[in-house]
Amino acid sequence: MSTTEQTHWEGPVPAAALDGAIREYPKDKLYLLNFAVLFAITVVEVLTYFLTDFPLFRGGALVPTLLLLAAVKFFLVAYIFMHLKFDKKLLSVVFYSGLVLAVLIYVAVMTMFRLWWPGNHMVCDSSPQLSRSESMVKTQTVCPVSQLAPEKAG
Amino acid sequence: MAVTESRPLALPSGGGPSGPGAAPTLGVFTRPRTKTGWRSWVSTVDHKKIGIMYGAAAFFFFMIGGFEALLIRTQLWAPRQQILSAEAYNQVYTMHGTTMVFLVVMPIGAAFANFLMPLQIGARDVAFPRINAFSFWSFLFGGIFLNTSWLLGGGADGGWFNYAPNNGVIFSPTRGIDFWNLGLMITGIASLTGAINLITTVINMRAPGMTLMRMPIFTWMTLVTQFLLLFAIPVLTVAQVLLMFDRLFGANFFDVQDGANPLLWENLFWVFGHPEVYLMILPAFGIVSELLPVYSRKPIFGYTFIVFSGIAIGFMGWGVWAHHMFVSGIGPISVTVFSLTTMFIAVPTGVKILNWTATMVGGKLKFDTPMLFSIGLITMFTIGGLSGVTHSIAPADTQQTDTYYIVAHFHYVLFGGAFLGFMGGFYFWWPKAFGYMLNETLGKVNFWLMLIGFNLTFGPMHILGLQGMARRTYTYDPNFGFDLWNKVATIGSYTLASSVLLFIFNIFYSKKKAKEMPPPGPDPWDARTIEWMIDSPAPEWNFDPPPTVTRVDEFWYRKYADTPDHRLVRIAKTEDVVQHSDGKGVHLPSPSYWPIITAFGLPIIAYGMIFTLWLALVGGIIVVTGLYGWAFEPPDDDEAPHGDDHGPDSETGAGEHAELEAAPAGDGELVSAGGGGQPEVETVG
Amino acid sequence: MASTTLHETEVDAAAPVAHIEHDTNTGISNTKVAMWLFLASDCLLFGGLITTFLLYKYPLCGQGPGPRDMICNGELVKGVFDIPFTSVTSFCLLASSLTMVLAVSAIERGDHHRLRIWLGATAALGAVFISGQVYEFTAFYREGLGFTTSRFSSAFYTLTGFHGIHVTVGIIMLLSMLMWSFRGKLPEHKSETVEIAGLYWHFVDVVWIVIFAVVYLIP
Repeated sequence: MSTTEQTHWEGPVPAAALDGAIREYPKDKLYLLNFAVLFAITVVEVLTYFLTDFPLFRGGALVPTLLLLAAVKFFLVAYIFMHLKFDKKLLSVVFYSGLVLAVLIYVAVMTMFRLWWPGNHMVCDSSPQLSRSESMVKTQTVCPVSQLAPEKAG
Repeated sequence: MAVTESRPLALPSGGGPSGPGAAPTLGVFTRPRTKTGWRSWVSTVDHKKIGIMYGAAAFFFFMIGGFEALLIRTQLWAPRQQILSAEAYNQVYTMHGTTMVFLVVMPIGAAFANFLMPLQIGARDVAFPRINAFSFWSFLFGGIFLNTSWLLGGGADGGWFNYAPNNGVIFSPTRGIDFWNLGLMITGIASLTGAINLITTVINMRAPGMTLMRMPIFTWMTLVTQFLLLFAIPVLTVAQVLLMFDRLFGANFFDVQDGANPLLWENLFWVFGHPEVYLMILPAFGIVSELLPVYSRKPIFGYTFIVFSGIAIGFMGWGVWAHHMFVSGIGPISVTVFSLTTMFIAVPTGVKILNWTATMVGGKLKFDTPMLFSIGLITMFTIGGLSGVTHSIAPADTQQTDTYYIVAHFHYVLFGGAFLGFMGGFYFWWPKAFGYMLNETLGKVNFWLMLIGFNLTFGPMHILGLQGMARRTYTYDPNFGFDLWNKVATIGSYTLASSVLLFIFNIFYSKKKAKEMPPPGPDPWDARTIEWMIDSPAPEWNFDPPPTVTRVDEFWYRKYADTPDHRLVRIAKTEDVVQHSDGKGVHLPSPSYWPIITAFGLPIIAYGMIFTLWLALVGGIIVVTGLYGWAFEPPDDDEAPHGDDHGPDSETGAGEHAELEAAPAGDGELVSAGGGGQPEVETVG
Repeated sequence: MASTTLHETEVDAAAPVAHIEHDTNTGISNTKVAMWLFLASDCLLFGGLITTFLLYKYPLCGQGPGPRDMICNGELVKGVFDIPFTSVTSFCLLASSLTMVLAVSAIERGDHHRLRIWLGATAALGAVFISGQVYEFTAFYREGLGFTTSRFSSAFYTLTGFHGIHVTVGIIMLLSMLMWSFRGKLPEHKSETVEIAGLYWHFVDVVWIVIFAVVYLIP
């Protein structure tokens, strides 16, 4: 191994030496930079838990914010770390077709379960809860504190 | 050649070159080398042998499923019969459906894909030959596992889709559904690994000049089919994992009492189930698209349209699943949306029917048996397709749901569509696989018997369904007025069975007669695609050297040319353009026992899940041992004899590449087997 | 053929070299295509499990704790999630993606020493993540959240358990490669093996990125 270590070199890896690449693989600096961005986004994500009053983290804005941040992270890992930026487009097509298909189908399934709007028994229902005496006890729904109207939470 | 001699294929895992005589991998097995006898079959990695085994196994399961069908029809011969009890009837129709879908139609598609696709693209073998063997053995063991439920407490009894909550322990306390669930997970592993393998093969291993738009249509349909499998199987796996946890470990996924929603099962199942429908029919579409041009002596009408309509079916097949659930209370918006998408999906199918018909128009038609089956497919599938369109009208569908009308519809598309296509394919490619032709006269009788029996069986079911006869009910009352058509259907089913027996007779009869006949030669049908360029039966090494492809129907245009006034002239004798190679210098992937060993562990795990977890542990050890043995075994056997050291011509990209691929194929098998196989193993073990 | 052999020998002798040349139609090796196909297929597997979880995110009243604090019949039921703890383990998994890509980068440049360091670091970070998950499961169990307790618990354990199995398989792959590298059986022209194991590892990471946001952070 010592012989090979001597030939170790620092620059980008040329595309010709790589399998299925259309451009050279980057220097490690880009990977570090990418990780710095991922780290920053993760910090923002975790902050949503602590800074519940920040406008973007409040009420209806929270879920889109988190989904967007997660999507950006997902994309950055796939694009840089998994070399989709540097490899032939075929691989991107294969992977994103699976991904997009999964998202479309499962969003459709969740829509059919009416997961997106209130009034569905499967999600939080902030209507007044039924009393125990009624036979509905089993299917009674519960609400996380954060989604209840303030007076109910109090 | 030189590569394998001078440079040991240094797998990261593999030991170095093993010296002469020191061959046992992992100290267990000597490397299998025989080319004949049962050992050559259990250790084979040859895509053609695997394809033949897929076909044989599927046909065996077809006999079982057919027997179950006859039981159903015998039970329904007359009202209030007691040949089968209600419980037994539930099991019989469930296992009939499951067997026919998962163990017959899908694997026959896989048989054709395995046998033909590498030949049609001029490849040496598939991308990962050992994974290919693993796929087959998992399918076979999964299928056998599923059928052993008959001996161990009864089969599954919830219908082939096993709707929740009927599939729960409360409503189905026997072990049948556990067998169904775990058995189909095993065949799911087989389908998934097979799909990855075959897609990689099509993408990467085509002969020189074989661009995507020069591929035979069967290969295209295989590609679409395998993509459907690739994306559909995981969805079924999710549903089945949830069901397994529900049934075996008391989880709460489908139990309404615990706030669960049974519609989750229905959605997941049909998200898988509708692409499943298309992946069953598309191989048959591919087959007739190959057959019609041969017997019409005309190129396929609108090659591009056929290809793209196939791709369109593949895409749109994902957007229609809820039409199976119109009566499950999914709401008016969903019903409307899925009605519309269902109407639209008829369009690409219609395009195909039009193209096939137009291929025949003006052609010099020759009504050999494969052609008869192809025409049978077009007509019968059209009837089934039209009754399918009626389901997109939600109010009509509400009437038809769970009646025999549905049964009639899906048998017209699955038997009249897929299976007639497969029969045509059997007759057509039989000489390429086995080196002798099936008898033409018997073949024609076979076709007409099958067509008449089929229509007698399933035609009346349209009427019965509209009269209101319910599916999955073990008997009916005399005054319902169902007697007549049920009798007709039962007579039809026995006619159908006799046609299948005639086919089996034809196989043996023709084999016996073949000794007195001249061998069929490479090209008995005057065919169009390159698999007919090589000897019949296809030699182990396929092509040597691989042909350079310049257009669609390459082989045909080496024999014929179009004159400016669109007449066909022969430009070369068939004998001059075919290839008789001796396979010298061709190095093939070496056989291995590890795929069958690894696959054998899977049903043991499954038995363990049902009976005692200790057995699952044993199965898990077998699988892990198999995977490690596999990883430590170099994909190529350095000591295997492989002829003289002269390589194929310099232009033979694929030949070289098959050699080169051997090395990375090993790594990849390790990695993807670790990724693909392991999670399942770990989950259940 | 002979020229190919020669070429490979040169390649081995002279880094910087990454991969052996593949004579495939696309120029991408079979294994790489196969791994991406597998990952694409796995998207649908995890998609299904995440959907199931979202559907069953809250337990019924009286069926044990939920993910977050909730009001059930006027009483407060403490949630089980410990976001700061999970954030730390999630961060470890994210960091392991960086070390993984550095390992790939190292072997592509012929640096076997760094390859081993980064492979080891990746496996270690993965192990930290798995330990965290085991700890988390134990803690939840103590708080009364068994696998069969409620629809929420079944869905939660199934989803995160499946992911955990994927990570475990990844760790086994990493350790195997580390072992091969120490035995000198992972030369530069085999760097693709590392890259492909890396693809799997990154995929496991991106799945957790989604799970962390959708399951843990969205209330």
